[in-house]
Amino acid sequence: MALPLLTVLLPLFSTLLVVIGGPESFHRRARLAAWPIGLAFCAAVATLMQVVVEGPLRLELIAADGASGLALPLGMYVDRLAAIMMVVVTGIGTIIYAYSVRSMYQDQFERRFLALIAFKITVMVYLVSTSNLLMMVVCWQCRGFLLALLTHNHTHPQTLIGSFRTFTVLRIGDIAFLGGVILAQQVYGTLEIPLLLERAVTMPVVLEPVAGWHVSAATAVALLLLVGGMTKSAQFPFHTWLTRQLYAPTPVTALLHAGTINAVGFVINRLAPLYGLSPTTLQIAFVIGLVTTLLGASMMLVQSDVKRMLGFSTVGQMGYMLMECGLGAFSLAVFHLVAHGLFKATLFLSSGSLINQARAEPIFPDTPRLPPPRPASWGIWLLGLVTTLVIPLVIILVTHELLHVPLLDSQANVIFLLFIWLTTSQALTTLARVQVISSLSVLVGLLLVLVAAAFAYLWAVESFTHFLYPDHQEVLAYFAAGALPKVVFDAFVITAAALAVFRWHYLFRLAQGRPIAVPAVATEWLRRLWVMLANGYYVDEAWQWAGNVFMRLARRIDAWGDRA
Amino acid sequence: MMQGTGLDALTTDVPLAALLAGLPLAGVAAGLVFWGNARLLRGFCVAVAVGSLVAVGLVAGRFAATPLGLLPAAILPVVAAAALLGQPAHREHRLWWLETLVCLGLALGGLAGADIWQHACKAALVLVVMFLLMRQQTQFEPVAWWGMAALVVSLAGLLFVRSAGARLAPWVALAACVPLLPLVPFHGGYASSVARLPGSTAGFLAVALPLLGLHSAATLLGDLPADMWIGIGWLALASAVWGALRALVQADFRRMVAFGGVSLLSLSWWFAASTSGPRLPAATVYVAGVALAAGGLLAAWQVVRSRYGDAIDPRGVGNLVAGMPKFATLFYVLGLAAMGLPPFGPFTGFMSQAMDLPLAAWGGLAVVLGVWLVPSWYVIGMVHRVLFGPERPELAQTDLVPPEVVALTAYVCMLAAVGIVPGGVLARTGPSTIATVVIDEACFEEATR
Repeated sequence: MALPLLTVLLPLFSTLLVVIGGPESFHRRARLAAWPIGLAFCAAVATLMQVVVEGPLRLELIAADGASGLALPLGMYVDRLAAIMMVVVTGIGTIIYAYSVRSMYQDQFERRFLALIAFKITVMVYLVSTSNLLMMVVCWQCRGFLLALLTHNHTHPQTLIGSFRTFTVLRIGDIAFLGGVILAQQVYGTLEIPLLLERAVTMPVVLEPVAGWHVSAATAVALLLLVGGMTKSAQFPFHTWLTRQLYAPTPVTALLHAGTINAVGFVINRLAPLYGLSPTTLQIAFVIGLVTTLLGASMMLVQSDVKRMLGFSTVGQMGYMLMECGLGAFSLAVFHLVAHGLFKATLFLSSGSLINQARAEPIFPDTPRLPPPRPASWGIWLLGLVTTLVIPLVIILVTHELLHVPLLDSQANVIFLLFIWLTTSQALTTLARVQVISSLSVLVGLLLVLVAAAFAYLWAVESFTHFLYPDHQEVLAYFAAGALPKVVFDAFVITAAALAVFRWHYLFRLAQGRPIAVPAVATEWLRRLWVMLANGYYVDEAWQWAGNVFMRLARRIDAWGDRA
Repeated sequence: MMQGTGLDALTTDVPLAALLAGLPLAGVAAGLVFWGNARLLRGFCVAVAVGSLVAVGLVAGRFAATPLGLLPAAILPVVAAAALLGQPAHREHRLWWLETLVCLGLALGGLAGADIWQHACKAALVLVVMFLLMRQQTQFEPVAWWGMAALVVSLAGLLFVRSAGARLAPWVALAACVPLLPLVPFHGGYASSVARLPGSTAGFLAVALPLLGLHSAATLLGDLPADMWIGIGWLALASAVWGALRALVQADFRRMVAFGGVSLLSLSWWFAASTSGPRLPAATVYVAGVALAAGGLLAAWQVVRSRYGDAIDPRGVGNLVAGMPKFATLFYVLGLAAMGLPPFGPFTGFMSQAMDLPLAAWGGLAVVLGVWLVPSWYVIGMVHRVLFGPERPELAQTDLVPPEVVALTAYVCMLAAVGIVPGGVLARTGPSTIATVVIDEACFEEATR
């Protein structure tokens, strides 16, 4: 029982170590403070092992019944999900804190920064392990505020504006989350997560917000919490705050992209039985995730700044994670957020040295040029088609079969298969550059790598799913809840397959030096699209416009009030 | 409608109320002895406020029978002391300190007494506020007649509440409450007091008036007809939106606090309307939290005014964080409390009231949540303007002196204490009791599909 508590308290101890004491011993204390966070990681690993052996752990420090006279209950509920998240948060937190000690050395705000980083780790660890939704709200709001503080540099006006807007956008989500929690309390009579989930499953409640319109309470609660998660996870149209964090110190960006931003995936998994009761919410999540993925990925393509590029890449990845949740693949979303967290933290933490290196040895990228046109040949076309489009699909299908991943019973698996196919085909096309595919050894090597990667990935995902949700029926129930209407699903599959083939053909022709002729009108539209992408579809401007309209209205009312 | 009967209540409650009201009022008279020495006078006034707190502590058990319990009576002397400490010991402030003590005495009398005695104290306090507002008028700030009218309404309500006939009684009772716990269009008295009165008095009244208003509401509005509560609910929503929008565009700090207070305190009327009467003690925690946040912000602003003058525009100062780190920290924390972040009183009170709501109130709650969001813009925006803003090297920056540190820390501690230890008001054991919930398998299947 002491292990989960230690995992929370050790980073808090680090915070106090940094804050308390004189300036002369500060640097020694700052270095020393990395150890408790590292120990918290060890405690989190030990907790995970304990949970695997003994099952979920419950710890009640201050009861939620209010008998203590305190307003906020303190308790922990550590199941496999919470334990995994604790390991991830403390693991990445340790690396980021250690990095920060060097990165922020002798900075004007070093002390405040290190204390806030350690405290944020504390808040995040408790957020993922709390047993009570009210405490989740408290940590949720604290986390948003701490993020605003960490990204805040009052000597730099642009950072100040970014920090202010981040906070205000995140507050919109906080309020929606608050609404969801209030409704959950009203309907189910408890905010203790295990009990709430039990009641949600056993008490089918239908609300009638407007006469004649019924909505299940599970849907209403799940939707409100989803909106809360959407703002934190930078989902469209709330993604604008993320790319404003360019000026934040690198460790904050790393912590943000590796931890904070995964909120929606975590919340949906934490309350999985509730979301499993609400297909409507899952379908809405799928649509929002899909839109965010497409917009994030497309906006990333036109960025010239490496941090902005990584920022939009995160937007796309978060969209994909929400899409996974929307399809009922909850465990896959957790797998994704863990992998993405590690990957993005590495990228951000190494971005500084890359920039330094680039400054030391400036190398200007080549201007993209078309290769000289090659003679058209059906043989080469066919070879390219088979090796970079058909064989990857066959490999993925065979891997699914070998690992007994059901494709016919689950729409989600089919959609993920499509995405894996598109990704691997794109990778092969890019790596092989099609025209040099005449090298058989390169081709075979790439395909072998693909076999190994597909097998390892799918095996890891399947194992992780069994680990997180040992009851296979539960997994199938979530897949069923996230199923799309058949017409939509068929249309989606056909469109995605057609796009995959067209994309391949387009790239093939490009690599052959004979690009597909595009009409002048389309070129003009593409140019306009590029401008739109570069400006992030003007979403930020739309928010600004809405804010201005609102303020004009408020000024009119104020003037009228003054006259009255 | 009315509790207690004349003479019995008078004989049993007069000693308690007289003690609590008499101590600060006697302090005013005794304070005249120190009139020549401003520092000594302020110290004496603070000692009187602390003495009032001790007196409240000595008779704490008697407050168990009062509608709001001990919390407001314990808060008010601390607020008075903090408001006094927040002002520099200057000759020009002497009268304000004594006025603050007068207000403290009348407010404690209003909370501790029953029936005639409490109405008399509240009416006297309203009269004092009206007098102060009249005295405060200048060529540039004429008398706020709208505010005066609201206070007259309250005064009339308090004076006639015992003698009104059955038909008029609910209206008279309501008239006694709404100007104190502000509700548009009767918000003018509260708003004028907060935005116009001088330093310590405004800070004290920002806390005392809403608490007295809630006390009156809890005492007088028990039998209000259901259709009146419906009307109050609608008016409260309009009032909350109105206040929030006006607070959003204010350039003047005190007006922002005043309209922000109107907006957030109106929410307590909506909560009360949704449950046909204020749900105590959750309502007390909420009103106390919001009022303390407003009082704390005014005390913080007093620090700025004492350095840069009365008519300072928040846009005129800036980057105070560089030279005033202690002030910046405490001011920021007060701002966080005012915008409803946990674990401070406003958040706890809001949550505890919201969780008591019937499910039928969801349409209104959506608006309420929207109003609850708006301070995140105007409070944090104003705090940022004052603390960060453009650098002004020509302005000398002097950080808080010890009495100011004590004053602002007292507000922060009270806000945290009210938020964290409100006496288990968040305890919940079952679903909402007034839920309009349909539980039907077939209907559920249809809805989830």
